Amino acid sequence: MKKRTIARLGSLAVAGAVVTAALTACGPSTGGSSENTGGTVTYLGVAGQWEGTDPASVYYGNELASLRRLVYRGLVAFPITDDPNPAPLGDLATDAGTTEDGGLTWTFTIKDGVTWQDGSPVTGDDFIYGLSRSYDETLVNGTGVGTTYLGQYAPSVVEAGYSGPFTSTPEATAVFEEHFFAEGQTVTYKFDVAWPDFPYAAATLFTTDPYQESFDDGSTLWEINSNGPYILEEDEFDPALGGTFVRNPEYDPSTDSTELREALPDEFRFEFVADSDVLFQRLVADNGDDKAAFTDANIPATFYSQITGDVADRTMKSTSPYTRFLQINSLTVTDPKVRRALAVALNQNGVIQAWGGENWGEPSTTIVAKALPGYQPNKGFEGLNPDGDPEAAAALLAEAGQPNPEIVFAFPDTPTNQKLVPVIQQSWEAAGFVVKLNPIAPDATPGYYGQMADKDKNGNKVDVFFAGWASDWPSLFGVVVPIIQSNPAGVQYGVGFNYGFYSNPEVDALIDQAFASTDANEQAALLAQADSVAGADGAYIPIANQKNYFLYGSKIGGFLPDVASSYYPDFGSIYVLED
Amino acid sequence: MIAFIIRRVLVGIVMVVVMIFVVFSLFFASGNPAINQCGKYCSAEKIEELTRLLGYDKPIPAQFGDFVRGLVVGRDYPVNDAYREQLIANGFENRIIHCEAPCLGYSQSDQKTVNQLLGKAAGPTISLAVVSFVIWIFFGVLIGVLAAVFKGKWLDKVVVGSTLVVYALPVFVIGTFFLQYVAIKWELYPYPRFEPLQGPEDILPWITGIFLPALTLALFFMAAYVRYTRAFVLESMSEDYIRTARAKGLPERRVLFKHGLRSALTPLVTLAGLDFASLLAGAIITESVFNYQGMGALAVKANNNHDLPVLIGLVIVGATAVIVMNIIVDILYAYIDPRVRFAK
Repeated sequence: MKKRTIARLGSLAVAGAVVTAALTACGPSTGGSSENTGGTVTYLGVAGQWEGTDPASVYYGNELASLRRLVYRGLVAFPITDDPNPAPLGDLATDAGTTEDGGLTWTFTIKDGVTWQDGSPVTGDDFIYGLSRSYDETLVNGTGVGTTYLGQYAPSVVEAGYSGPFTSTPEATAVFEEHFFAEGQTVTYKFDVAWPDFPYAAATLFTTDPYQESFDDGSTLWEINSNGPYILEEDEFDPALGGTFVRNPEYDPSTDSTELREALPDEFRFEFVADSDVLFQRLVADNGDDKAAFTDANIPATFYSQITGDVADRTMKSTSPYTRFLQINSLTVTDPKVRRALAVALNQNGVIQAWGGENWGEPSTTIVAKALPGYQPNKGFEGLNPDGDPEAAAALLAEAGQPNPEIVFAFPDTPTNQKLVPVIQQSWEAAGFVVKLNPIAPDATPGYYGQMADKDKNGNKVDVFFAGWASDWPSLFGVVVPIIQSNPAGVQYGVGFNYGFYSNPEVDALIDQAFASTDANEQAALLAQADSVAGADGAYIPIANQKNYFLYGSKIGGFLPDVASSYYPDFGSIYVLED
Repeated sequence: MIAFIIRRVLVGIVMVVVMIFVVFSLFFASGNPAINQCGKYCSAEKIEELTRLLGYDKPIPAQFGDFVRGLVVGRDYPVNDAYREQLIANGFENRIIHCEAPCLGYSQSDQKTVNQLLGKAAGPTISLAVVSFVIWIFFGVLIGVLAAVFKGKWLDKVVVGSTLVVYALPVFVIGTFFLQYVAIKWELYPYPRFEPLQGPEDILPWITGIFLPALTLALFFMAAYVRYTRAFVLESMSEDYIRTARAKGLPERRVLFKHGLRSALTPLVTLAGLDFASLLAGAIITESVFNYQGMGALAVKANNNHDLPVLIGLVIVGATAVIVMNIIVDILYAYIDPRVRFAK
């Protein structure tokens, strides 16, 4: 997820459920039983959004979630549940992994009897081979998740120049093999830096997924070698048209759990259409095979007028892992009072209205999404008025002795942003700021985030800039650390997503304590505290927590946006209702 | 006639070669294409590595030489020799992809040769071009002739008026109407999906799946062809030799079909040939509306991804199609109208 997704969010789907919403919605309940087995479920998507089905190249939350349930079992997986705080369970591994040194070393034991779609067993070596592929630039296809996080937790492997199995030198390969190795069915991961929630990341991302070396022939981008309940019927998945998933004859349900996959339909048909208009026309019409169809895209505002009567009975609202905020260049805006004045003045509701209104999102006080286990409002931004408070902001500026500071605001120059930016500009000008706009063209080189990541902002003065985030796995580690932990000394490009170059020893100390803790609740509490300290210091400007608003066909059962699927509908529970 | 054909073909070959060189230089003159493949986590080192890996570090004439060699004898990918050697040393020679001649290049972002991508896109595009061509020529000429015959009557007025309306409507409006109303909302026609034509049993699903997009495209051309035909027929029916034919006492039907149409429709051959050829490069809007994965959709995607090799391949194939159709049209024309053959 994170920045790339955010950059393209307009066309992507986001999901979520304030869990009560999921429970009280009039949609079908989960818990399909054997009489719901069979039939074909159609998943409707928009053509051209997938970037690959090779596990090394899959990156978007909805793609990870669907493939995890259908074809790519990993070490561990999150269960199908409306519990907002689930723990990962063993999937191909017997349990959720063990560590005896606080997350530096993790070991997993691979189950007996788990196989690839050709019938050969999934081995410990397959896991190490799969991990090694996550280092290869040509396979990750520009997404870079593997190298980003592996570089963070095992920097010595990257520093040794390891670049995957195909092109690495023997010396670099030796460093890799010291860190990650298999002995029979036991797989060991040794990190340089403790990774206390490693199983959470392994459950969500495919970076640690196994790969069968004999399947690897240089043209695997759109191929799928399944170890799950379904196989791809075609030779390749088609990013423009989709693909059909049918039962995998080699799959042994006794090695799996219905907590992870109920696998009720006989077939999942992924059908991509030209645009979301066509997609929602079909779901609203609810004709023929489309009765058993669903999507993970949000209902566009242009369709709200058609969501009435029995169509409204087929909708579900949920929360979402995506948050929107503005980052502040801490190197140019150094006074915390001025930084906080930007947040205090901002009319969050006005911005949300321009984005799509209450179905689109709600005002937020933090970069942490409500969808994340351990979410807390940011105490540092307590009492923030979602309509903006120019007087309070002006008072802060007066205290700072800078009644009219100049602020340069950078944003990607998209049609949506052109609607939002005047709202933001007006809220700040009402407080006394002198606002200058710096729109960045969508086809600029380097791109928008490339320019913002640069300490010197590509040679331009930038004080505040647009941002958004979704944690790559359901944990506060995946959002607090990348955004507000200080960058290492001397870097030119922000590490993680700290492109504001925010730096605060108190925040860093709390993050270090969280890394040292072994209790998930305590970790979350410490990270929330770090977030609050940063809020009081005006580290960023919160705007919104996004929401989901889904529509599905009249014969869809088991529709559940949950943590396991990043609040997209869970493919593990969905089924076709009997006539 | 043979000499004429040989002359046209030779000129065509020279045009294709010149066109390839121009396209290649135009695309590569615009900076380092590796930047476009570098992704969002791009760094200076990564650009450098990708530049080497994709062979963009070589001088442009050398790259052009490699490209032409690929066209003639084929190439291996990745193009970087050291990278391939490292693959072999590590036991992964199966990752080297051989692209057979005429090799148009390799798309890093799709991990496929350009030939594979074009081959896949050719089916929907050729199907769409052929079916819509048949519809628009048949109905366009028929209605145009009728309008000319009934010139000034109510039929003519209706035809002229409605072609103006159809011609003025953008293709995406007609396409969206067919898709979202005719197919989805009113369920008057099955939802259009492309089904490849691989044997006689596929004809029905193929034609069912392609009819709405083909009609969308055909309506646009048809409106124009009705008016061309009407004008050409009216013009030739006022020629002196038609009066002679009528004076000989020939029945009106014979005057129209034997004498009027033959000369009226010859200019249409040129127009139709070129319009058909341009469709072989893809019907971008129609393909986008119906999510048909033809050449047009491939062009849009390659453009969005800054996928240079695919764009070059598309331009070369599209331009070659136009040049080839031009030659065919010239030959047909020479056959129909002997004056062309003997003109120097």
